[in-house]
Amino acid sequence: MTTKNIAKLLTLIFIGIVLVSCKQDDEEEGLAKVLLTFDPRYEDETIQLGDRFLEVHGYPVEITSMKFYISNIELLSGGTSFFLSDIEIINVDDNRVVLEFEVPSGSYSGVKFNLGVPTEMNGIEESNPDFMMSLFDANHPLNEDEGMYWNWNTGYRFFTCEGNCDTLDVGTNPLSMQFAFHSGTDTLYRQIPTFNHSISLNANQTKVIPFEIDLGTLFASSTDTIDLRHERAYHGHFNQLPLGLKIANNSAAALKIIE
Amino acid sequence: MVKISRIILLSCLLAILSFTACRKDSEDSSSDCSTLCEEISNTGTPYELEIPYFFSPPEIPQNNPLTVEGIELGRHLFWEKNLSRNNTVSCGSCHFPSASFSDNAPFSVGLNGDLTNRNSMPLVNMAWQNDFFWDGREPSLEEQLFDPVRNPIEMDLTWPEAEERIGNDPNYQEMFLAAFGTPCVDSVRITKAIAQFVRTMISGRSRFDRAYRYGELQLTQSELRGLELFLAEGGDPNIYPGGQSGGDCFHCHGGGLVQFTDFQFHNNGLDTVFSDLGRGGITGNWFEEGHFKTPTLRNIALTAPYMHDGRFATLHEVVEHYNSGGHPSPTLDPLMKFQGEGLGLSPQDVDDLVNFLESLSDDEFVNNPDFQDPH
Repeated sequence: MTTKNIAKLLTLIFIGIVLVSCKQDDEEEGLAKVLLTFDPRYEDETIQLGDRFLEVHGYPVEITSMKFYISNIELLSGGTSFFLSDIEIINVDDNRVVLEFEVPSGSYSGVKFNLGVPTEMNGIEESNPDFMMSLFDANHPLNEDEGMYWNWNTGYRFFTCEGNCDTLDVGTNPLSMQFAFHSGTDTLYRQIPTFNHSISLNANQTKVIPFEIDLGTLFASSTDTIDLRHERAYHGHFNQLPLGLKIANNSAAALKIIE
Repeated sequence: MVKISRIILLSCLLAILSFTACRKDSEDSSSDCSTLCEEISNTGTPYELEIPYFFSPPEIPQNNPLTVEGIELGRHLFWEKNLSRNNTVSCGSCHFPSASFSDNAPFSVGLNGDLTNRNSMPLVNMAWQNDFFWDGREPSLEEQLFDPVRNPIEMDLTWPEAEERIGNDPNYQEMFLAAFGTPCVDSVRITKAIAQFVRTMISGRSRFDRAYRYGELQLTQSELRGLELFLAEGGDPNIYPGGQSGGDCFHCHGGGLVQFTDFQFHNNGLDTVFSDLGRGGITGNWFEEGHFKTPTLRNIALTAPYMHDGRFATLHEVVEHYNSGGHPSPTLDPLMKFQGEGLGLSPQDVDDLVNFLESLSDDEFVNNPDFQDPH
């Protein structure tokens, strides 16, 4: 082999090594972004706060406030998972309905999270004696300024939904009755089944996984129906646990991926 | 050649825009446009807030860190009457210590004797607040501070005039040099300095705190009963599931017993017809009409009269308002669950609740020499 040919061969080998190294570097540095968005909807239409819709019994309803916590958020890939966050708040009132996460590029098969604040983070003295509000800075979802902390006895509100309705056909505008659902306590923490959703992310790519809060399901799921004629207030007390269970079950069932 | 001439034209346009660009203070009037000082980092001696152990860390803006010099400058400016057109009104005129840095009148009296349109809010633990004013129209303390100086009822001074007055004072020149690196004075530096000072005004050693958080003393039986009522649901348990015959206070005034506010906006049943739209006047949302910010209850006994229009002279009147159930309106907060029938609190319950609220007063805070008028 001539010197010239050896030089060419070495150059080719060198280029090859560089290309392989760069490819490996790209893969190692291959971060992507995934956005989880949350949209109140009724019959596939986006519902803004204050918009009117008819719930399952035909009663007009206007949602004026909605906030909730989701926790232990993961992206799933086959038998493994990538942990996204321990706790986040979705605050429809302030239009804070998008969660942004940086994840390794690759293919994923689903998303998993639970509804509410897990016991180890919920501010209940008996189960969490080290709990202190001072642990959470101004940007933390569990900070007092989110307005979701009840008191030392019952911890956080997990899911709040307030609004107006009219079950007596009074016909006023705005609607004549108010409702307020504030569910919480460890009993009403909901583990939600995995949301199956295939998503492939290349490096530097951003993709959205859109969720809806199905307002129809919120009031009437496959298992529970909330009757606004006499079920318009829940604030976490044991005496009203049957209503609390309906709210917890239905709010969990209302979270769906928009396909 | 064509590409180069386009670049030159764009550069010229950008240069023109940069000379004429004005900050927030020019939104009202083109004559209110300021020349801004250079922003210099790492000036002054860093100052670390002494925070009660049970408070969460406050949010301090990265572009306005606390310094010893900035805080002292801010204190001087807070009490500076030359920031009003006729040199009679300072921030401290409507936010004075004995009233927990609010005003003991329904509406404050401005520089010409006119009244403001809302009750002065107390300046307590502002480092933990957001959405400033009763209607939450300003997102930060720095932005809130632009308003009173140029408000024609309150201090009625344009920012260029304010900058000139302060900038011509040799004492202030020295203080601005120490705090910001140069003696230059502009509206941004003035509001930043006052914001630094206001952030140091921390109250966390009320009688209640000293008992509940520090174990230094014991609350009276009446105060303890009031605390119990504060944290209890309203409604007769024989009639209302979940009812605890309580005051329902914690729903809006915070069950965490830290800042005694949920930082949200509510219609608490003051009126059926609104003369003041409150939050709804800012957002344009009909369902927020008549909503006002939940104030802190810290030092509440010192801040009479109460509500956004100062309509209630005493805490007894406030508690009796909630005891009555409030007035109906389309945007009444769902937490006002007993409109039309009331909470059913007894006179003793009302007294106990008021006694508990009075235990939230912090004498150390209102008498702190670091917050007093240095002039």
